[in-house]
Amino acid sequence: MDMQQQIEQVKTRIQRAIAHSYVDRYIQPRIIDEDRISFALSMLRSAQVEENIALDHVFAMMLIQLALDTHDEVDEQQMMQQRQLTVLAGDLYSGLYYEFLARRHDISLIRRFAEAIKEINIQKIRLQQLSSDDLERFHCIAVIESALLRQLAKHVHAHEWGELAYYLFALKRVHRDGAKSTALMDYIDHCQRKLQDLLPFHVHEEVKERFSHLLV
Amino acid sequence: MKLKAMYSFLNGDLNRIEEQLKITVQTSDPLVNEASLHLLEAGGKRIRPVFVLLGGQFGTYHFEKMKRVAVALELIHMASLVHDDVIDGAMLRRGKETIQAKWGDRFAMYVGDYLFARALEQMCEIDDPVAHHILANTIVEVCRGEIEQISDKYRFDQNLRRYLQRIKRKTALLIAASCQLGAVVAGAPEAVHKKLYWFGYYVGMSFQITDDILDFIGTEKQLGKPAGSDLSQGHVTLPVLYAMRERTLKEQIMKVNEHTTNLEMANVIDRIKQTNAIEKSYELGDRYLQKALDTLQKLPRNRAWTALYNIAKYIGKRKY
Repeated sequence: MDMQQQIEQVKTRIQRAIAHSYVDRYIQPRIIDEDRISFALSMLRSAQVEENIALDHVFAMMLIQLALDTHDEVDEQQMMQQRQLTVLAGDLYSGLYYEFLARRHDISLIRRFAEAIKEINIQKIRLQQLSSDDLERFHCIAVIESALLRQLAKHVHAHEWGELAYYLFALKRVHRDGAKSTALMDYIDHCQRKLQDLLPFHVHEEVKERFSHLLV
Repeated sequence: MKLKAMYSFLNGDLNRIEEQLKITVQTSDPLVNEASLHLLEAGGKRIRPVFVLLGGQFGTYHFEKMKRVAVALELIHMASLVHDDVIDGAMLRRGKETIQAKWGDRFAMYVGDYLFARALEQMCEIDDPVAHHILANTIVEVCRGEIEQISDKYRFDQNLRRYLQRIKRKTALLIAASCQLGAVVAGAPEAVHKKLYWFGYYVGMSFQITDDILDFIGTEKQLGKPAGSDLSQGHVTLPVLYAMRERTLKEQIMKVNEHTTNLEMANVIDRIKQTNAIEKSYELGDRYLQKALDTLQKLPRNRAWTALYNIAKYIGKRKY
């Protein structure tokens, strides 16, 4: 299977796993981040993880990502029923990740991802307390965006990929948020320089191409 | 006899679990610590850890292992309470401000997810695929049950089977899993841990039915909320299903919606109480309780057996 086919397979599996006739009526269709899937698959390929196992790892990781993203959407402004189901959908996706890995008896990966969920939520809480010009924000954002990938990198002993994820996904998020400040521009510059150092190692062309717009 | 006295031989271990809960939720962020301790200090019966420890007495009781499972289950329960308060928009729990009331919805979501992660970390100290499979399955089913509870609101065409399935997922499964997991981790034979599962399941069903009855017959002081709150919020519980067997009352109940006034609701509740719905509900609750006690008869007798017997009896008789 080529990379695009693998990405599609992971997406299809996720859509099947989270499909719920009632919930789907009230919450927006979930957006599954192909960049993350592609990055993770490249990392696992480079770590010589067997294709089926790699697809399972990425499937589980993306379920958690969806759970966390869904909980980010919980908002006082939502209609009652929509808010309730947003909470429960996120809880359900978290449960599905655990159930899936428990079925595979992959306790060490459950532990890795639990560590990432813990880190991410601590940093989300921390981020809420920081002022908009606090430089610590960038570290929080980088952890929030990369912790799952970094834990997966640790799991397969692909440590350089963890560092790469830290800068790449932080950069992607600050680009997406689009805020402009001197501190932010400095941070973008810092990430780009780090990435110039990190990217020459064995990253697949698909990944380079996918993220090339962030490096300009 | 008071509930705690029924398992006083576990006091030392329960205190150590309480300590472990405090240690487990600690982190470098002071606000996360404050929120987690706020939850822990609100108390609670810690009934899930009690069931884990009692289940463990049917195998080779190894406290360090029991502790991990008990802490994991209590943290999962706490995480679900934090998220439930967001779902219900609740301001108070056990007389204390809820996390969402104090810090907002988004913050509560993060604290709940943080506690869930901490629970899994604890559970990962247990290298037993069966235990993980049971817990994971329970978590998923509980979530599905909560979604069902929302989809079934104001649905007066539902039947008894649907109600029983919902309370199974909402309450009984986590109690069943608590009883079973203690025994699984203690290496008890499958025949034993499966019986403990069924004991917990029947007790959980009886407990929830009693809860649903008390919602009608309890006082506002006992319940901490106005009587009949479940129906006001659209939850169709067992007494309502039985009361709807009376045709004229059924018509009145089916008109209940978000806009029903307090006065109209008081009238509906009074009419439900005048039927035999409460009595019939007690009968079904008792049948589940009897099944729990029958299941217990098939288990070896020890002090945990006696405690489980007394707890089941206590749950059957509780008034609030």
